[in-house]
Amino acid sequence: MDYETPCIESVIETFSSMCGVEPELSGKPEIIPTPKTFRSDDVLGIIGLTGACKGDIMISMKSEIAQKLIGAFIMEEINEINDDLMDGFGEILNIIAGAFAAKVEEKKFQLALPTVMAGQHQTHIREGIRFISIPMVFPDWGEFKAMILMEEA
Amino acid sequence: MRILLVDDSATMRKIQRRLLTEMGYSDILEANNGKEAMKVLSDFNYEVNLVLCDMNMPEMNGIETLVAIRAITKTIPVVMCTSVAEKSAVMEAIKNGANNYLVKPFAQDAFVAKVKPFLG
Repeated sequence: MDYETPCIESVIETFSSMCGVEPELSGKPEIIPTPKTFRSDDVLGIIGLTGACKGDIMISMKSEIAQKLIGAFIMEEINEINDDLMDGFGEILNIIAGAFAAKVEEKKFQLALPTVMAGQHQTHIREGIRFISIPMVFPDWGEFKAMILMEEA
Repeated sequence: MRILLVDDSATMRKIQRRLLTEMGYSDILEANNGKEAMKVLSDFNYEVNLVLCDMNMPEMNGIETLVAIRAITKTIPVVMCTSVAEKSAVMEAIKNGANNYLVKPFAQDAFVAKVKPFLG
């Protein structure tokens, strides 16, 4: 199943409509062999999906990009990792996951509550998980990663 | 006009508050979840002109909140805020007395179009 396209579309639609900035692909989506230890950027958001199969969507970006992005979302300047940034990042991730789930409706995904972590984290992705990393970029701000993790059927 | 925003995300409440303020409304109440919403409504003697209620919340979700509101009053308009994935739940919300729904992500004009009819 192609999860990359609906994920890319959901990220672009959500950031464009809610934050007024349109990201682009900066490279080809890549299937990362697992097991794999993934090191995130300064801000990492994870939201779980349950349904016909289980998975997660993750977004990882540098602090300064997250500050600009969530600042644009709430229309206030953000200069540090604070509660507004963490809460806003989680809400954006929730909207992205909702849009993604609607695009793969046949999987009947339900959304878990998002988790947002500040600081660089190492996340262990176990064997048997299809781990797709999608490099994206805000042309004026810099690169970030969208990732999909799905349990293989 | 008094409006109650029910959402576990402080960010979404802030965004909705800003949009409502730009529309000229300033009497805006907030609740973090359905339980808080029921307390706020009771504290204000159910004299609220519109409830904007998120669907996906911990403690008491949007449908449970809507059912609790409708058990007490059928007259306060309730607009459910939902992500596109929760669209199937919208039918359940409408069956339970929701007046309309707003799908996230939304643009400002979509927000105004959904909310304005209930505020005169």
